[in-house]
Amino acid sequence: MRRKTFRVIVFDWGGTAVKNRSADARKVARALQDLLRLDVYVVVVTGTNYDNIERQFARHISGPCKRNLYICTNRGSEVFGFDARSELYLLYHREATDEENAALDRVAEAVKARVESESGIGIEIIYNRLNRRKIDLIPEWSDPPKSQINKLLKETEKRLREGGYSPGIRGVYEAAERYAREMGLAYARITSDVKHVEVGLTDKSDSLRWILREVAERRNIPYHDILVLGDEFGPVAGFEGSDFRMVLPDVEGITYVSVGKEPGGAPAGVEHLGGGPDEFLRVVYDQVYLHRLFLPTDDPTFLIVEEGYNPLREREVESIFTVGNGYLGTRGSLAEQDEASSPATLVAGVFDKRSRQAPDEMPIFPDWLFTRIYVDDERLQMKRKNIVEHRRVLDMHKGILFRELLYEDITDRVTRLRFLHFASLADPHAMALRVSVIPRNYRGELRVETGLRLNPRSNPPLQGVDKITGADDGDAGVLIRARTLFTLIDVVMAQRSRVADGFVKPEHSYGKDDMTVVERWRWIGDIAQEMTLEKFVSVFTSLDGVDAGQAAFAHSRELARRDFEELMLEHMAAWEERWKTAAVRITGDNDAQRWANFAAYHLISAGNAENERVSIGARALSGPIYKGHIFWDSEMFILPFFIFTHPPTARAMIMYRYHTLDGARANARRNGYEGAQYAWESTGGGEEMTPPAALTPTGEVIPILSGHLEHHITADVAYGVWTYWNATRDEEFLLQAGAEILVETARFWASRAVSGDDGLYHVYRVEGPDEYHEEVDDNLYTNLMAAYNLRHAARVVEFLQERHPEHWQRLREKTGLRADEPDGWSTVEERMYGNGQGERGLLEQFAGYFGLEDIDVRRYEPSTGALDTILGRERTASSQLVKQADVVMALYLLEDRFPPPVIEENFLYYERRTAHGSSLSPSIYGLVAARLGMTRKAMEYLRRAGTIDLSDNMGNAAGGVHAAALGGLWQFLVMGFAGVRAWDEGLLIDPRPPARWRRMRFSLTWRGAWLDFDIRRKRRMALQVSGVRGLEVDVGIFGREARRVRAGSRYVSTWSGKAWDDFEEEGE
Amino acid sequence: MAARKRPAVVLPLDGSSTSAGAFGAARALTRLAGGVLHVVHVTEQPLPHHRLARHLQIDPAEEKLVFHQVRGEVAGAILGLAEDVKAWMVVLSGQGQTNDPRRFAGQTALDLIQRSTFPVTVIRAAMRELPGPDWRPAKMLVPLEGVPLADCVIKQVFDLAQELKVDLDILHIAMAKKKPPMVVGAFTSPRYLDHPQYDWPAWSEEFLYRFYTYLHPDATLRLFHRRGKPDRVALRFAMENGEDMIALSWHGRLQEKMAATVRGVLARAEVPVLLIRT
Repeated sequence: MRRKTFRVIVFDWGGTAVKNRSADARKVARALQDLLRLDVYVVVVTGTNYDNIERQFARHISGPCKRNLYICTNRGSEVFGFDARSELYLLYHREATDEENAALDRVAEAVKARVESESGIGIEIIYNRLNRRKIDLIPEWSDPPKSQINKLLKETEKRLREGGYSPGIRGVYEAAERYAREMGLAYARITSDVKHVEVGLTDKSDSLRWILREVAERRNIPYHDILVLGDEFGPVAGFEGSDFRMVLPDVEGITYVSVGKEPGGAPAGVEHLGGGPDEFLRVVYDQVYLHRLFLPTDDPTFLIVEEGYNPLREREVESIFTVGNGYLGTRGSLAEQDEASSPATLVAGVFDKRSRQAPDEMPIFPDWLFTRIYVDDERLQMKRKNIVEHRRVLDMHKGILFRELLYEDITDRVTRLRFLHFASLADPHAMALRVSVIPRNYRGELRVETGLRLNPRSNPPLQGVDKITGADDGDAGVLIRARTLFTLIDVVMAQRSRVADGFVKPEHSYGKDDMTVVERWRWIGDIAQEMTLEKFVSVFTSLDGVDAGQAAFAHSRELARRDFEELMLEHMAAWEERWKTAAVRITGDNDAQRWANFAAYHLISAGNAENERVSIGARALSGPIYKGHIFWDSEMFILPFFIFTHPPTARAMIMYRYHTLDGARANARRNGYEGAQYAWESTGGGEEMTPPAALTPTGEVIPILSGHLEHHITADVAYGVWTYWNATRDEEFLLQAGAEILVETARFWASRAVSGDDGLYHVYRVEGPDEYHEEVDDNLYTNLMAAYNLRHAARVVEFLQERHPEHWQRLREKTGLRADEPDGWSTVEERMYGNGQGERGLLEQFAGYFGLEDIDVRRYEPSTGALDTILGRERTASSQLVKQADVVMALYLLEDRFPPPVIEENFLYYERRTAHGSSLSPSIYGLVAARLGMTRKAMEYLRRAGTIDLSDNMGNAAGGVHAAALGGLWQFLVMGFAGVRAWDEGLLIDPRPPARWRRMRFSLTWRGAWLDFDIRRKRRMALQVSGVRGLEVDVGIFGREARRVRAGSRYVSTWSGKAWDDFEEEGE
Repeated sequence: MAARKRPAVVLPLDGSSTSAGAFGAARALTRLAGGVLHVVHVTEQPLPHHRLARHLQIDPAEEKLVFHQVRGEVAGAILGLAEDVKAWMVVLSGQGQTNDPRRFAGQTALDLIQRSTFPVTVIRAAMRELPGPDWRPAKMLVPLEGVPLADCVIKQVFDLAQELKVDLDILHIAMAKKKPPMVVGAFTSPRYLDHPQYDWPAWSEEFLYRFYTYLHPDATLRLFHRRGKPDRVALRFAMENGEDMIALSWHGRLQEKMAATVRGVLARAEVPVLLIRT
């Protein structure tokens, strides 16, 4: 049986759904109720009367979903249904006339007389059946189970033949047919279940035809969405089974399945599964599973739900609801939009400019969700007064945005709309939208226009080159071709839409104007009739190395040939795969779990393992406000998530830095330094993109010095390179790119540091992560990271000299590196001001910091804005107020350089002076607090970090999600609460989760192995190692030596009361 | 097309010169709105019409005024009249006969502003320069603290700005020692300024988005940001920027710890203060 979802499931009752009339049907009722809740129409078709079905089955079904249940009784003579209050209604009733009843009696009695006259046996007529008479051929065997059909057949035949009626059951059947014809009932339906031969006015075909007409056709459900199950389709005793009446010869597309024994074999067109009611139940369960598969997941921590509609929050909601696949991101704007919407699709790596001198920024791609819905020419628009119900659900596990809207217009017409859309994680160029329209209480002309629209808010704008519709070139679909103004990148989107099969055949046409191309679908809709449109969109640019127009056209055509659900399944499978390694599972704290899921969801949506020319910008692909620029956020906050959960994406991100190395070299040269100096804000080429100033709403023009002074980014990139190398041992990367980055960045620092009179090296005129203090000397973070850069560049040189001398030689030739330079790096590193201060207690953030006005942020808390805006720029700069983790960032990243008391003392000192004016700050403070065992404090930070985008009272996320904060949150959980350290000697762990977290599970990749940690707080920690056979890596408890662990083995550490014991192999 | 009904401005006067201090502003606002000025006097002993203007210490000049003398509890009677004439605005002086300079408003004024569902423009009695009939406001300051304005308030602000042909200066105020509002849709001063070069423009854009979502006022709208205690910041800003009016939205309750901004502004405003009830 082909696995697909069915919208209508029709089945015979006795023998199919239950063994017999006395069987306990509660289990099957529960399963069927699940289907009813999933908006599947469930239809019972039976020969018996309603009371029997009520007693055994219907009374177990309750709730509004019962209105999806139909019970067709008395072998085609009655149909019962229910309203939303579970009230029973008789929907159809066939009542024989007196003449017909008399004729039925005559036929049955003639058959009885004939059999009895030709034999010595007695047969009985059951008269009290609606519109039929049952001739009981074996009265002594009452209510035989269906499972004994063979025995029943044998016994009945034996009774008839041995009693003298040689034609047997077949003869009785044919006699009934003949008498019916002769007695004026040519239209009589003769059936047999072996025990009986029945003469009636209706049969199960009437039930099914009623369902087709009144349920399927009225709701526009195509026949191929109908499943009919029975147990007696095949011939029995020479005539067709009773369920065969449901096989309608004039109707194509219905799926027929038999779960019966079918001793005579199933007829053509009926798939025989066998297995009886157990198999029936399995089919029902499978349908429940399949239907749920295409709905939001059951786990609420994977769902972001927005009820109602608040235009004030709309842009926040759109950011949060972004769907993406790393190639592109599409904000979760309403397909039909309104003035509150700010739709945007951004494609990674596509930049343009507003003018030739302006910095790069991302143009907004055409809006592919663009959809307009009209009822009798009145457009449905998002006005609060028209919205009866509105619910949007981002399923982060499946990467799908679901939406349901109940809309009432001024003439009280109510329309239900369902939308879902996704950007395929399985195919980066594919996007899909499904729209279902159901008039609830009216008949009228419905029109859906869905297409592609150049975004008028895109600045820089995309120049529309071509808008093509099927009307232009005779092929289906629409296409929009545009080009960036200065970078001359071709951008093409192609769309094809279709309506799902059904009885209503909408008229299809095209439309276009200056900004838009649409496909238009128009039909007359009726009450409860559902029309589903499916739209497939492809996007390509000339950066993809193809003819974007041809590629988009062909790709969209290919997509449209496929089943929508198949595309969805592929996409969901890709997400499932990513969650296997990306999920941090927390038991006991649903908030924390949701924040963890939210962070991972947006990070996965932004990462692109396939493109080494792009990295992840500050707002990922969820909003254009940061113009897609790449900051230190990428390496220090986002990269670790990918290094440890999806190294190919991490590699691509670092390769982006490799490909922008020439730009960094040019920056260094321009500024009078050697080597490579990475831009604070970087795009495709690596040139500095930071604007020189910002205008605040106070009217103040603030000079932006980070592009000139935040040199730490160069060391941050180097840190990212080394961290990736250390975690992956990806030697090919190191040789191809990593070593060169380390060498060139080290050269920068060697030329940037100045030897002072004190015999130390200093870095003057810089800006650290604390941007409240611009142009300072010897920012500790910068100096320590520079030293780190120099130290690790020297290490990699040694590594190349020893292990890959030919590469070393090539690198020297390529970079012009002098032989004495690495030694010089070591000198600078060892004598760098601040490097080696680890033993000395309080660390000064920069030279002169301790002389500034002391300030305690607690005096100002809470506040309705960032503290620097409250204190003012000048006072902030002349005080010790810190914007974000600066010294504390160093304490985290370079933990091995500081004794624990120094970390604690400095953490407490700087925490009291930190305003957390950057979204990057709370996660790092929380992480260090968690490592220090300050759990309560850490939890406060976790709430703060977790709600940066999800809080609904700040408007923070309107311009896009804070990608670095999300990366920081993941580090907070894994490096903080779980206490993971990726050190040279191995991966070390020291979990200190909060008391309410009963369990914490996550996976990390370490030097080729996958490490699955399962932590039960202060009890037990399990480690499952997987990887290629024979692989061994070093893992241990932080503070002690790592041990070798082997792929395929499981290890356990127990909590001794104060600390974790070393890992022991299970079974050792 | 039906003729537009002329907006009714209601001016309560108690016969004191302090209450008559609002007359100039009321006349000016009535003229700018093209409306009718209803002067209401609450008394148990109505005066003959020809003596009323003198009793109320106003000069009717050549303008057409509609006088009303009503009985009953003062604030209730005034608001009842306002209801009857479907007032567009009530204009009143902060003080009347008792004129107690220690209080930021007299009892009748307090009753009126707390009970009125109409926009109320309060003229502080001790203003250095009272608006005269030729007063022509050009700029109206709307201070905000992050709580979203109800749609009806935004609409009223826009409508009034349009009627009076004033520009709107929206002043966002951030402050310490105050919790950010927890109302859904609240929009505080940015909590995180990761990179001011992008976050400030984005914040301004978002603010305007929220303000303009459904209403497109025929008035120029400018956005400003300041920090500090909202009443002081608003008053200082109004003075420094030559604001002609201050518009405040409020819940209509002046009890202790509530409406501190309204009380602070009413106590020291040198320009008329427009109160709009949420």
